Amino acid sequence: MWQHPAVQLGLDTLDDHARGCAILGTGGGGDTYASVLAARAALAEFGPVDVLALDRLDADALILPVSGWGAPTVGIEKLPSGEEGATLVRMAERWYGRAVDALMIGEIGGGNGVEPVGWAARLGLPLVDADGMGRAFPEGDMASMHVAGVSASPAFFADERGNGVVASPQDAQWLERIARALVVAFGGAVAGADHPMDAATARRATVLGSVTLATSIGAALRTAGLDGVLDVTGGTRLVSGTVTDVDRRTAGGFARGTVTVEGTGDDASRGVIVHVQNENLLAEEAGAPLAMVPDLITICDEGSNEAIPTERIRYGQRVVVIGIPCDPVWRTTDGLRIVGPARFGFDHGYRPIEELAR
Amino acid sequence: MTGGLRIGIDVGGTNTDAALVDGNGTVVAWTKTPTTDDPGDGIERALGAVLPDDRAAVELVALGTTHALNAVVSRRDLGRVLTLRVAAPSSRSVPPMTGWPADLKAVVDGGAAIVHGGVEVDGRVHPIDRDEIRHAVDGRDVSAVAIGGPFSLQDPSQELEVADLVRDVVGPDVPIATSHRIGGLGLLERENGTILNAALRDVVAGVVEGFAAALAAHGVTATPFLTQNDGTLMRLEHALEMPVLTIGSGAANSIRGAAALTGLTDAHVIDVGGTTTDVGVIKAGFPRVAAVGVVLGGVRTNFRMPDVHSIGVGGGTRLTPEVSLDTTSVGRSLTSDALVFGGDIPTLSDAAVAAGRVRMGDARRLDGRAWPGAIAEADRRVADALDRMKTSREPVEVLLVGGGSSLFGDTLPGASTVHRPDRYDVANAIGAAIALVSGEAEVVAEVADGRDEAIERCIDAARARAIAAGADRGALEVVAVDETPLAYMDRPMSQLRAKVVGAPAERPSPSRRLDG
Repeated sequence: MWQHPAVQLGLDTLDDHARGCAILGTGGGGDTYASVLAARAALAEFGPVDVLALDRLDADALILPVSGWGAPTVGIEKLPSGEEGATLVRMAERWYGRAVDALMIGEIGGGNGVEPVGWAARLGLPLVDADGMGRAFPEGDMASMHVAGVSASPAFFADERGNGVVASPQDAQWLERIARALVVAFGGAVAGADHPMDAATARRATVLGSVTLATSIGAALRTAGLDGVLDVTGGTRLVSGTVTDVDRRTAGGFARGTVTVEGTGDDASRGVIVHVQNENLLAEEAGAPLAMVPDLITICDEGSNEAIPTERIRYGQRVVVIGIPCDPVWRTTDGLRIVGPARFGFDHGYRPIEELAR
Repeated sequence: MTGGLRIGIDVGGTNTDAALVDGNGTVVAWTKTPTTDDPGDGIERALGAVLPDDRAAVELVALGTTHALNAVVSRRDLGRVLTLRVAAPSSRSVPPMTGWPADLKAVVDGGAAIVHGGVEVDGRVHPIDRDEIRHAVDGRDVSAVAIGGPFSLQDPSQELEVADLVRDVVGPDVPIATSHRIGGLGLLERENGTILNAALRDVVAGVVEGFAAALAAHGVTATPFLTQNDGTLMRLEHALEMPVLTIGSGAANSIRGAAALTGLTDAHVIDVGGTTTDVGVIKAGFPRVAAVGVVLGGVRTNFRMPDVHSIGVGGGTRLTPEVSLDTTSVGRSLTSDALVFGGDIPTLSDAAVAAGRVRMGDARRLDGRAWPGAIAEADRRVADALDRMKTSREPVEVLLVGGGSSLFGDTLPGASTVHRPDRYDVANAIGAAIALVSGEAEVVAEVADGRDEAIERCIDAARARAIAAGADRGALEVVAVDETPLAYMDRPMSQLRAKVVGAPAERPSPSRRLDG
């Protein structure tokens, strides 16, 4: 079906991959700690995972996008058995009466970008070099497959005990509703596969190159610091400075708030406010936007260069805020309707970071 | 404080300090002696130096020690631990001790099993298989057992049931540690802390033995206590069950002692030593705890530790030819290697003498040289460390303590006032001497109806632990109740945390099992 996969994800590249997923998580997407440990254990036992560009797969190859749903608090207590991916694949294969050819990471940002690596290793399946977001987003309908009009149905759900559910959500909103109900039924966490598609569809309906991008972001971070990350992503350094205020509140089930960064060094006298709702969504200076969703905004630790998750931002941290252009799919009319600034309650009309940085 | 005399002893890596404090909190006597290889010898010597003639007037002796921390860092004297995780099939993707440094795992790993069972966030409990557990434990040659399972903070009954079963197999002499008593939310970090706790049993037993022998040698009959991570006391029997809680006691004692010396209850404490400077915070009379997990010896844990930021600046820090600060220190050799002491290595102490900030050694040996760049850099780094520990831009009161504190001036960016308490050099021993007894509990509970009852249960659990730790049950005070709502739950749930403190009981209540 394919020859000589060019890229593999293994023990030697897992940490780079996870670091890159954290950068693409834009402050959200969940902690990568437990996912990295689980993936490392699986890679050590079952060997590395092939990462395939979509054009290396036959047009009718069956691709299953997978991700975890649920409360972060549950995720750090009830850890996966590791068999969730196998249960999902078994259900999908029974449904379609044929083999699944590859897994796809549903959301590359944060821990969701790491967990499927372990599932793929255990199943001996390749991962396609793509995902459904190119970053992290808070809701399940915020997927490129939704923009492309791919049906969310059938959707498969599995817990850690071998329980499985097959659902036929009528659209992405129903997918979100059904998944939330199952999260409750299964005790706060569930693994899911939705928007299954063939490779021909995936070529036009996904964010291409996400997996190799995450890994090269992590490698660049390790070898060349944030400048390396900006080179790889075409991103911009928005400000370097000190966190001087963190304002948090919970609204509508999401952690909302602002982080104020006062510039230091070359940025002295600058002040940047980052608006947060689970993810970092908008960076402003004196009321003028520097970058906004769906472009990526990540707050990195000045010393380690690692991305800092939203819940760990504190007064006094020395940080560098970077902005990265999002995938073109999000800049289309349909894309902006689903994840543009208005969807998150901001008044700014969307302007690409490349234009704002000029 | 009830009026009698109290003695605090703090065993650090370099020095063992002791202080005798009277009922008004006045420091009556103090000493600083070198730490010895055998814990008992140094304790005995320090104790002897501060003991009053009337031994019977001493009502309490409290010991803080860095032995447990050193054992983890140096991988010495640790026990071999069997880990039972009651969770299968969940969590099988991450076996116990995944991610531990190989050298530490090689010493501590006595086997691990993930057995069936576990609690769900909604309260459901999956049954255990008693034969499976017996089989996992039987025939293993281990010095301790660590038991943990998901959501045991919410419902510890299954961990306790498994502990009983394991005790039947291994007998009464093998210590068993259960995770709900050790750590917070986060199964892996809590399990790691529980394993370390089990591995440290013999280390702390050795300290307790040496402590008891030192007291007996001096004919002291006062109640002995160990100090723990929050700067409060625990009975020796309790310390044997919870060795890991002594691991951050040195920093906590230092912070509490500095505060007691100035009467401040809210301040930032800068402790300048020979090799490092540690910045901690005292808040409402107790050390602020670290908000995120602490990595110990390369292992991620989540039991409560004092929030301390350390930087490599101290009296022995070497100066570079470019007239700035090196990253290394001459450490214990300061009094022989520094220029002012006749050595040939320029240190931050030499720079401070040249700048006229402090007198020590012989300033003539500097030949008129000065290092203003190094002084400025040290000031900048300490101010930066202080700023990192602040939670807002408001200036804070600063307590400057430790042997190297005279290297710094009386003003510091970000500080409203810089206090230099007397006896700053033995603040840690004083902190131990004035310590109270505390109990803490953390639970996850539904809070839709019965929120008040849930909080009350949490406080009761904290109270029970304080009494078990040696508190006088009549005088317990609730000092903190925290509630953190959990997101994405179908019913409102919160993580509740309570802390109570009180004076130590004159005669500790009889030993009981601590299953609160």
